[in-house]
Amino acid sequence: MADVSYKPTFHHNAWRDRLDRVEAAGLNGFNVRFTAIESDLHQVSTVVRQIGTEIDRINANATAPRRQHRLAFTPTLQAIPPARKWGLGSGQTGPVISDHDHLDGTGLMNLDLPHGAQLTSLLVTYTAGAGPTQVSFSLFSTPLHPTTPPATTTLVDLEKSHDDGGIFHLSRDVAPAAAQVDLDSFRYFIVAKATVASFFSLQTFELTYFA
Amino acid sequence: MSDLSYTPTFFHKPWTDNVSRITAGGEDGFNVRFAAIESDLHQVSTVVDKIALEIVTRRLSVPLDLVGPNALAPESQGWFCDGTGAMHPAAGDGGGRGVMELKLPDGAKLTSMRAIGRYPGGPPRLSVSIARSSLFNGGRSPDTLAELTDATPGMANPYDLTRPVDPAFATVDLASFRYFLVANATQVTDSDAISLAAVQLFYTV
Repeated sequence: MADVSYKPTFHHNAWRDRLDRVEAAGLNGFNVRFTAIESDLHQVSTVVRQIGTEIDRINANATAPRRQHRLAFTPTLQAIPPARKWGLGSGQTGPVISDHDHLDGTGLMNLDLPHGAQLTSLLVTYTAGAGPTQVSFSLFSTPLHPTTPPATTTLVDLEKSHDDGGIFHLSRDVAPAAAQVDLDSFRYFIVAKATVASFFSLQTFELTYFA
Repeated sequence: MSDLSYTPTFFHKPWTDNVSRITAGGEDGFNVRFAAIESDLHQVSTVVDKIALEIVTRRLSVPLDLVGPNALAPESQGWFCDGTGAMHPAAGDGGGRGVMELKLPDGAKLTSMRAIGRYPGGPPRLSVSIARSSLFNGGRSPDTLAELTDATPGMANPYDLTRPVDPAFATVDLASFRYFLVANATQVTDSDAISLAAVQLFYTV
């Protein structure tokens, strides 16, 4: 980062009518004032050029070849009353639903995403016991400023129903139209819902993106 | 983007030969014109400083995850989440109290906190602040880095307020402090009407 700053040198000592002799030359003349103004305006020009160079550097970084990144989140789901919330498993790596409590849960996680990133996919990893299982995981954006009714855009919708148990990996591409992270206007969150037969443990949310 | 702008004040009204009496003082004199030029040049200086700060400023979008006194029942005395991730305080005189950890980059210099949400006006009271607490002296009161309340100028519904960070506490020092966000609302009659929807922190490195 260049040290962009501007300190003007021009200072006007007021002349007094009928007391001061206003002349061109000398330390209190016209010339020294206009020379200082001219110098300050040239300094503005230099600073504007520095700002332009800095903006070019930032834009060059923005247009540099992008590479793919992975961003993994340990799910920390918040309840959305009155929906039933996910439980906290003992010894598990993430939120759980088990038949000790109830067999369905809904939760939400707010996300911190890199501004300007181009999201490409959402991967969710979970473990489910055998039996009828229905899950959905959705990535949303919503305007920073609250609206009535609330406005949301779905970036990814993952849904799956199955009867078998085991470790599952669900993945889907992000809708291209809303893939670019824009923190000037939006915030982002994931909603996780599941209805399970016996046991369910959520391990990871993983986003891939280009930046 | 911040509200960058520059509006010069200098305006030269031409004098007329053999008509105008050119004086130093007065509304049409030299002095007022030179003073305007000087003022405008200083305004350029201020704007350039703002541009320089804007170029190096980065933003952290805080993923709201407030925890209240009863984490297992956030509808009681805490803050709870709606279907879009906005947080709402529990109803009642006690309202909602919530805190969450902030993950900040060590050595960064925090400049401001921006908070967005809904506030319908009194009697409910609302405050949102970021603070730090010493890792070694638990008895020491936390330092408040930035705070907004329902009395902050510009409070509206919805609100979108940016507060400066106290320069004395601006540099993130993870070797000595932990950082957190606190949101409190009391005298809450309608939980849905009050929210904290987004918090963003701005910093330079």
